[in-house]
Amino acid sequence: MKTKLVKSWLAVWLLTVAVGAQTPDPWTALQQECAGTAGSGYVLRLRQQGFAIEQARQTLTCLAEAQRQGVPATALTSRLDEGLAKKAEPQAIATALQARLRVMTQARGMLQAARYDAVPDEPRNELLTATGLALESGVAAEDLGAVLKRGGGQAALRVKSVVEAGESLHLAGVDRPTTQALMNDCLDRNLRRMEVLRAVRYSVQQHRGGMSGENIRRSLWGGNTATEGARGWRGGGQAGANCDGTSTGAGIGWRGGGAGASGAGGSGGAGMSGGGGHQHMGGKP
Amino acid sequence: MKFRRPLCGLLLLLVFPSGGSAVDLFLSPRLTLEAGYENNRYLLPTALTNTASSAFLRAAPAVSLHLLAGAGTEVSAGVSGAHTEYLRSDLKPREELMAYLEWWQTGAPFEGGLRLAGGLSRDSAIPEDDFNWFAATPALRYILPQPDWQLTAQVRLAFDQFDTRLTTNGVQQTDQTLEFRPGLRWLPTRDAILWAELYLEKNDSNEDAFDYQGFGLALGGSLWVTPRGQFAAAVQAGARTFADVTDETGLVLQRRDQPLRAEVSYTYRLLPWLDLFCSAAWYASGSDQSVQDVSGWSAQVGLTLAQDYPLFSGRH
Repeated sequence: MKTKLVKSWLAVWLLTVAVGAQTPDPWTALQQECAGTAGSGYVLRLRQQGFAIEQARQTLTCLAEAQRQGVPATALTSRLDEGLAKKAEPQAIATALQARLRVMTQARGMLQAARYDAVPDEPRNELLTATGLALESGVAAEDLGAVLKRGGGQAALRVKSVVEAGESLHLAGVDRPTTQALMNDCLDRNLRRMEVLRAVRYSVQQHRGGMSGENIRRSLWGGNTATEGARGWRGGGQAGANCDGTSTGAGIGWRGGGAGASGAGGSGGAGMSGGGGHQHMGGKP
Repeated sequence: MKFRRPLCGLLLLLVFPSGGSAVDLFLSPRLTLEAGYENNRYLLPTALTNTASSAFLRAAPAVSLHLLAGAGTEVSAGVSGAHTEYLRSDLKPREELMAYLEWWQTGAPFEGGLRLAGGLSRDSAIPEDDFNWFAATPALRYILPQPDWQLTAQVRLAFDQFDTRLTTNGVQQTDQTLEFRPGLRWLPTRDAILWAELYLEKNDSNEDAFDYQGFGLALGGSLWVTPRGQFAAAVQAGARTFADVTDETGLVLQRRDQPLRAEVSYTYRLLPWLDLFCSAAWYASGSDQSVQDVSGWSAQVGLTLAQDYPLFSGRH
């Protein structure tokens, strides 16, 4: 009887060992599942960070879903990296990723509606990510949708700069109508990225200084603050003293600053015959 | 603090110890090409009364670095040049070259900055007019409580050294010019600006005949006719009184000039990297000494190609 019992136990043990040898470790299985996806590099990190296998699976499912939906993986991996770096709770990371996936999916739909499908992958993904992040920051979807439509399905990188501008203005507390109007202004005026950045910095600064949205726009566009930056130099109007011949193109600029002195002509424009005006103008008789 | 490039970040931190939220560095190459017509261009060297009119072509390349830091600081440095070629074979070309460094701080209610610039001007038609220059220009702007009005002030201190213009003492002529321009700007709408400036100027030269004092008034404005097209116009009128000079016969020569100028321009941004423009300018300077009476005009059309390349972006 005793021998029979021992034999039975031995059989069970051998069977268990045999089955165990054929069933992979769940982490290994997860690694295999994620092979070739953006999540493959994260399995080991999640395990080391103390994720339970199901939490890890839930987290990595988000990445796979993003990939399936055509959402750039970096939009989610950046969030994941952030959570891991901060040693956030696994559940909090999973929740954050799901939220990110939601806004990215929404952004993808908005880009499709605004006909950005023909844009090459890289700039479209950058615009998609910027739009998703702006949604996540709380910028109204209608406002972003309007900007995307205004962009006309082209120039994705320029529209991306404007979307980011809207997010910055929103986060700085600028009211919604002003934010919307400034985004439209930047697009309508064909601003380059640096000019958009100037416009945002100036707007935020004046907003914090108590200036109204309408006056911010007056000062920005009337005074050419965004387009000329530090070159909006002249003490007074555009002509005041585009000193030292820094006239850019057609900008009215008294070559040589005001009274014809020392104008080097600068780069083109409407100056009084450039540096040659020097003699004409009697500045240096 | 997080920078993509630690050394660059450290440098910027040293430059802007007061911090701020972001630092962005851009490289901006630019090329302006224009074609136009100039009236009263000097025809021959040393024959200043002999002038001619001609079409011209001008190319002006430039490159600059722009550092946007903190809440409202912008530091820029750049070089630019311009070469003007006249289509009449007997008119000589003209070249200019300059470099600048400037700092501007936006804010409320004060904005201000400093610009340091230097360069050289070479005119094959008038070699004695070739000069090197350096100028320092501090400027200040005050936004009034009624924020569509702004007070402005600008000082310009310039030093000019002529290459081949000898004084009566036989040395190269050098001038120092000081100019003060207080002004007022009015922004009646977000698409328009009107401005007025007084100016006071004084030129000290090592050649007495070039010492002068002057004053005047400049008025101007600009209007965004469309979101991408801006019209601008300006006029300036003034008076200059030169130091009395005694000639070889003992006769005291007095000279008073009345310089006038006007400009109009229209710029249209066709693409973010392409501006089209046309402009016209007119000047005249009447004088007690009729030989000093000059006038002329020019008109041109052109385009500016410009691009901004982000070199660095950091947040701290």
